[in-house]
Formats: sequence, structure tokens, C-alpha cells
Amino acid sequence: MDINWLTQPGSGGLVVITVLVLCLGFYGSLILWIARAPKDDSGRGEER
Amino acid sequence: MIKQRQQRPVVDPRLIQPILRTGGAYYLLVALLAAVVAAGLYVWIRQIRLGLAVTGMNTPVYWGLYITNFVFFIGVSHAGTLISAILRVTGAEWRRPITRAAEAITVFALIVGGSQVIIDMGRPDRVLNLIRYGRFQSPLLWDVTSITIYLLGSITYLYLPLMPDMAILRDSLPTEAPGWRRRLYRLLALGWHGGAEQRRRLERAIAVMAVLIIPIAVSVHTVVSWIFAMTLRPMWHSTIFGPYFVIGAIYSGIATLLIAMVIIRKAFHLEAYLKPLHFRYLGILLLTFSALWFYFTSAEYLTTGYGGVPPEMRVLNAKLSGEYQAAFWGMVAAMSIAFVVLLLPHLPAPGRIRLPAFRPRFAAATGVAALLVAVLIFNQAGLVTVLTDLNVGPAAPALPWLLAALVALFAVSVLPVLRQNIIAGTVIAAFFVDLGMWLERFTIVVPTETRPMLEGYVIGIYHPSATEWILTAASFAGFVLLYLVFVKLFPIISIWEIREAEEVIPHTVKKQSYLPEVGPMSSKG
Amino acid sequence: MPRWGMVIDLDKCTACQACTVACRVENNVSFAGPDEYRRGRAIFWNTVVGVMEGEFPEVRAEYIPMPCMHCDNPPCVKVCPVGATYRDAEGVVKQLYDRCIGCRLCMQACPYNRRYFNWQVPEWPGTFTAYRNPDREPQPRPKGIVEKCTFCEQRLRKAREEGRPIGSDDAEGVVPACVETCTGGARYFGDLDNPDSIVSRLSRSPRAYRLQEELGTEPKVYYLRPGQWEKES
Repeated sequence: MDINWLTQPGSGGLVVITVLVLCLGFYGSLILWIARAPKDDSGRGEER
Repeated sequence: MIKQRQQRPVVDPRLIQPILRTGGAYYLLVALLAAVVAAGLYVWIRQIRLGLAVTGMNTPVYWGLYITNFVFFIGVSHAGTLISAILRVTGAEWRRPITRAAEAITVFALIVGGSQVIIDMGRPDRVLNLIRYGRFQSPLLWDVTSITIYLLGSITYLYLPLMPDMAILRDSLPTEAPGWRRRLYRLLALGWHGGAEQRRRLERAIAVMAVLIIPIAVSVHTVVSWIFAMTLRPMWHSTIFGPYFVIGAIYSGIATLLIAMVIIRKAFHLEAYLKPLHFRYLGILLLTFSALWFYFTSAEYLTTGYGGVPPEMRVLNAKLSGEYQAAFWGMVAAMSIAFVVLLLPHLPAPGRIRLPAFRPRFAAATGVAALLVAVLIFNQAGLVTVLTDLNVGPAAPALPWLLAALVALFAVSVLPVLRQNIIAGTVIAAFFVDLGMWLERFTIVVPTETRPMLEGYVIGIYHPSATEWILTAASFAGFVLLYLVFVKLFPIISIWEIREAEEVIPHTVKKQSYLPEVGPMSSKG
Repeated sequence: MPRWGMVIDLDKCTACQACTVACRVENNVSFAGPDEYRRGRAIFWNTVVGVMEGEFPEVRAEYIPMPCMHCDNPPCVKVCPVGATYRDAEGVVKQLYDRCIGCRLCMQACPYNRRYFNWQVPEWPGTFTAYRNPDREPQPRPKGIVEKCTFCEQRLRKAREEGRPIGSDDAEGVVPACVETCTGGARYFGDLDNPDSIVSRLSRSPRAYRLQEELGTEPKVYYLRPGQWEKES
């Protein structure tokens, strides 16, 4: 994949879609990671 | 750090009052803004039907107000980044009441800014071609990519610290509140329970996002600047554009945040949370960026002027003494006023020099006189035609000096007011900063286009049409409208971060001043 | 593969602007009308630019016909986000009207300002419809997209299909409309890579120069410097 690939139509679209998917994946998993955190061992989560 | 509490802590009603109670003024404002946005929609649809001929754009001025607004709004979006991210990363505890207001500005400024590009395109129906046929060699694709990352990142960065507050609202909402609100908060809380592990993960995620979003934001306005700098046009093809635009962006972002803060403070009676120190510290940041802005601007204009390359000189002269001098010098004036107003309160320490008492009549006299002299100067330059018969004759060279003297006297006379009223002074400066920054975007975009490099080419003329002005107004109205909807749905001050402050901030007098005023209904349990 | 270029002899050019007119008729360039012209929206794929130098009585006027330069290193192609402008194998910089999104970045990138935007729906009022080229191509472009000189690509394509020669070297050679119509015989078209062609030889003349060569765009339109007029003492 030489540098000329960047000049081809479609290359930009590929980058944008990839970035979009990576972002949604990363940010999304970050949010889910927090949302799915287990509660305390005491069984009673602190209400804040 | 978990405080074992036996009962649920009480939420300061001031923080959720804006959500629960809406006054008539709010509805009136929303109606007005919606009307402006509707007008914008109408002229936009008309523009789609008739083509961009309804604007003032032409050969060779291919871009005008729409692109000016695009750069301006993307610039304003850097509010959230600076405050939220940099202040979090540097552990500046005073940021707590303002992070959400800043992050909200970022998201909505990005949305409105992005819409400007759609408005400017000749064929908005073909926007998906950017994906289907997008070429990554083009600066526009860098733009699409970085703005995508930034928008999604900012939404995440806005949402993460919102989760605990959604849980608080979910649990503390009074029973008379409408059911859709309860459902909304339950949905957005995503089952937040506040356990130790969950809180730890949240802190971690916010810290990671804070660090990530800074280079992302820097890249955004850098690539926006490169849409201009990667062409060969005189005074566009400049290596300084990247950093210049980023500095200007953060500058306008802080200013916009200050304006938003003072309105929120007044409208929702949040004086206990948004304290003078917040305005003072943001004012210092604004002053710093003002100095940086002057530095970059001087560097750009000095090197251009000293080099004397003819195509660049034609553009430079258009700005300094040509038909764009009003925009250029207006920008310089606005930025200078902002700088002086921001600097004055920090001048000589109290007690060392006896400050004059504020004399309103003297201030008014010097202010009005300065304004008159400024009008005279503009009249001489042919920029205004109010006093066509007036001829100042031999007095003309003395006018700028007279203006400078009057302005200095005025500045000295209002100095006591600025020292005592840091909020008013900072916000006045912020208005001038945003005005100056919009003018700066304009003076970057248009004058270069009017002076094509090839000699013999006619000088371009640009008069923005009504359509463009209406769409500009509608964009600003739309931005404010989105913000107004936001403050009605979500607490504009982060409830849990204020609470956390009471545990986290060491008990020094200075740091304690960051906490909200302890009143009869504080957030202490 | 030929590499198409153009040579314009400024000594022979009389600035009659027949080239500008012929181009607009051949390529169905839309009619602007006096209002839109005054607003700076008229489209001229070929335009004649007048450069005045000096002070009276030592005034020098130079008239330079300018089509698209069809650069070998085109800045417009570089910046197009969707590849709606491209340089084909024979060096002609072309437009894909169906793909253009009208962002106008290519127009900003062109250092010669040779690209034009359709600010409105093209129209030919009244009797001007008689000037429209009835050929299947070039069709009038819709509003909202960019267009420019294409070295009359439709003529070149037809010539290839019909096996006719292309270029000023041959008396029957197919050339762009501006070259064909030039009243002073000042314009030449041909293969720059063929060392025997007229354009190739003229491009090597000591009188030859290109506009803004220092930018590195490698334009393929060469100009021959006009001679100096001597005042008889």
C-alpha cells in the first residue's frame, strides 16, 4: 500500500468510516465498562 | 473515598431549580430564537432551490460568511477542551462548577459549526460522496475525520461526568415532576449505582478522555486552518496558521464560556457556585490567550509586511488601508479593548498607588469624547459618511493621538470599577473577544480572495447578502437554543463533582474558597 | 500517449476575444446576463486578461488569453475531497460533474483562478437558446458544481473515435474551439511529448514562458512573449 493510495477516491471514505467505527467502539466500550461496574461486596451501593 | 452516609444527601435545590421550574421569560426567549431559526430554515431552503447565487459570493470571492462562521464556531468549540480537560489534567479544583457548561458549549458549537459547511456546499445532497469517493489527500477529508473524532469524543466527555448526576436526578426527582423526565434520567443513568468500583472506573475514564481530547482538539482547528494554508493564496499559505487558529479557538472558547457563565449565574441565581474567583481565573486565562493572540497576529503581519512580496502586499494593504480596514482595525480595536479591560484589574497592587475614586461623569465624558474622535477618524478614512460636510483639515494627523489620550483617560477612570467588579469587567472583555475573533475569521477569509495572485486580475468585491446575514443570525440563535434546551434537561453545574470537592479539596483557606457558599440548603448531607 | 498542451503567441493575439466566445458556445457555458455579470458570476472557461504596466506615455498593455492551464502538477486535483477533478492519461484535467459536491476548495487551490462555479441554474434567455451546442455533450451543468476549460474534451474524444488527427500540425487536425477560431492564428494545440509538433517546438522557443512557473504547477499552456515595439526616432 504505497502513499498513492491516499490520493485515490474512496481512501478518505475508508478512513472516515474506520475512524467512526473505532470511535464508537472505544467511547462506547468506555461507557459500558462504567455502566457495568459491579457493586460493592457489602451488597449496598452508595447512592450518590 | 466513600463517605458512609445513613441517609440520602440532600441536593441543593438551586442546582435543579432550572430544570423543574420555567419562567415566562424562558419561553419568550425560546420563541424568539425559534423564530430566527425558522427564518434561517426558510432562506436556506430557498438557497437550495435557487442556488448559491442568493448569496454575495462570486468570482473570485468563492467563500464568504458561511465559511467565516464555520471557522468561528469550530473555534468556540474549544471552550470545553480547555476548561474541562486541561484544568482537570492539571488538577485545578476551581473548574468544578463550570466544566459542564463548557462541555455543552463544545458539543453545540461543533454541531452548529458543522452545519455551516452543509449550508455552504453547492450540492449538499451529495454530501455522502465524501464517504463514497473521499480522497484522504484532501484537507477537507482531514477535517471530516478530525471533527468526527472530536464530536464523538466531546459527546462522550460530556456524558461521562453526567452519569452520576443522572442517577441523582433519577433518585431525587420530586414526585410532581413529569414522567418523561423520570424515564429520561433513568435511561441516561445507565444503571449508575455509585459503587466504589464504578466510581473508580468513572474517574479513570474521565482522566483518559481528558488526556486524549486535548491533542484531538488541537488537531481539529489545525486541520481547519490547513484548508486555507494548503492552498497557494497570498496570506493563506502561511506556516503559522495551525498554531494561530488553535490559539484563537481557545481564546474565543473561553470568552464564550464567560458569557454563558454570567447569564447562567444571573438567570438561575447560582451566585453561590459561580463566584468572582471563577471569573477572575478565567479572566487571567483570557488575558494570557489575548497576549498569545497578539503575538501570533504580530508575527504574521510583520513577516508579511517586511517581506514585501507583491501578491501578499496587495492583500495586506487591503486589510490595513483598503476596503477591509474597517474589519481589520475593528478587530484590532476590539482585541485591544479586551486586553486592556482584562489587564487593568491586575495593575499596581492596592495600597501602593492611590487609585482614583470612580467618577462616572468623567468616565462618561472621556468615553463619549473618545467615541466621537473615533467616528471622526473613520469619517476621514471614508468608512462612515455621517459627517460628510465636516472637514477636520490640518487637525487630521493629531486625531489618533487624541484618541489614544482619551482612551487612556477613560481607562484610568473606570479602573476602580473594574477592580471591584471583576465579573462585569471580564464579561465585557469576553464580548469584545468574541466580536474580535469573528472579525478575525472574516479578515482571514475574504481579503485574500479579493486579491488573486495573478496580476491583471480584477479586485474581487464581496457584499454579503440578506440570506447570508439571516443564516448567520439563525446559526447563533440555533446555538443558544440548543443550549437553552440543554439547561432545561440537565443540571448545568455538576452536582456530584461539587460534592466530591468537599471531600477532595484540602482544607486550606484558598482551596476552600473554590467550594460553593455554605448556606441554609447546602449540598452537605 | 500524447501529452496535450497549448501555445499562445502574444505577438499574434489581437485580444479580439473570439476565443472566449467560441469556447462558451462550443461548451454550453451558461449565459450570465448583465446583472449576474456585474455581480461577478459570469463563467469564462477562456478569458482574456488585460495587464497594464507603466505610466503615460510609456504605457504597455498586455492581453493574455487564459484557458485552464491543465497543469501536470495540478493543485486543484490535490485538494478535491471527492476526486471530481482529475488528470487523465493524456494530461487533460477534467471534471466529473456528477460527483462534484460544490465545496469550491479546488477553486481556492487554483493559483490561476481558472475555475468557475454554477451559482444558479444555467439559463439561456430568449433567442440565446439558438447558441446552445446541440451535441449530446457537453451538456449544460446543473447549479452547485464547478466547471472549467477541458481542452474541448468532447472534440478530442470524437476525433479519436473517428480516427481523425488531433493538433495544429495537421491542416485537418481537430483542435479546441478557441484554437480553431482564433482570428490571429495565435493559438496552437498539440502533443508536447512529440518533439516535432508545433507546440513542442514553440514551447522550446526563447520567447516561451508559462504563468507562475515558480509555483511548480507545471502548466501546459505556453505563451510566446510579444516583441518590443521600437519608436522610430
